Amino acid sequence: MLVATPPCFVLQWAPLDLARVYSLADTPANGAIVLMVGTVRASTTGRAVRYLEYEAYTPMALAVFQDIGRQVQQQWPINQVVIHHRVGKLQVGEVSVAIAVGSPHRGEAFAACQFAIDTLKHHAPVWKKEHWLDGSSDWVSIGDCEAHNR
Amino acid sequence: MADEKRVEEMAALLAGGDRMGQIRAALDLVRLNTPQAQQALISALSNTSDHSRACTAMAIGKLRLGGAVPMLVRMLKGNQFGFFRDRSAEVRQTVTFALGEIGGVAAIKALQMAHEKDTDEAVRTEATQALEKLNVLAHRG
Repeated sequence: MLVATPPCFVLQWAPLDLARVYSLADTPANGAIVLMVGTVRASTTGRAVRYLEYEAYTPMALAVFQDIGRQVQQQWPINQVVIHHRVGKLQVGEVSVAIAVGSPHRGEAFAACQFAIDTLKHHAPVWKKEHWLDGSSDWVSIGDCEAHNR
Repeated sequence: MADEKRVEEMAALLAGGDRMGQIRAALDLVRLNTPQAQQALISALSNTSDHSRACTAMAIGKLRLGGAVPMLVRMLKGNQFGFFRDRSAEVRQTVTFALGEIGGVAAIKALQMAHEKDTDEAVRTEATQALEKLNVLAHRG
């Protein structure tokens, strides 16, 4: 049901394929590929997490991913930017987001990858519902916990 | 007081910012979720920028603001005479998302009409997904 084109920018219900994300950024022109993998933590601000539910407004979220890709390529000599994000129910330890950046040198790849995940967290219309071990739950934007958990 | 100032800033960004700024403003108003933030969002459904109205509808859907349903329905399908339907397919698509989040009889009726009759395929598809989410249409395999 979710749109998955172009393959570099994806929101999907199925578990993320890290090998696939990596391979999309893997070309002979690169001397470095930085792969950032976000996972579901066992606790947030001291509260034990049972599982998370991610929701997104897909058309706008994919537009934001594409815009991040454009911004990254304008600011650094980057060859590839790949952003894949999960939606749906995720257990502790599962991968929620994977970003791969391929470039000739590692310095710009690290910087671009940092920019991409920070921008995604603050600009993408993606929300997560944290289901706590005590049975309660809260919807939060994925950018809300950034100040505490960078 | 700080929140009121923040709402004013975000309302201005939502109306006149670039595309990413408008999204950021809408998300910030969702985070604030004060009565002033909700009122700013409802007012922003009349902004002149198509993308601003789309961001606003997305935020209203996320907050499930039932008070916005009559305006959202009018944006999706027009009034009883067919006037005031939003000209932008991007906006109508986002309005269908919002009505799917909010739900209720009036929202479902508008979504069913959009599912059957909207002139834009992306709007019809979004309406189908919204109706599936509301368990009005059977989920496809």
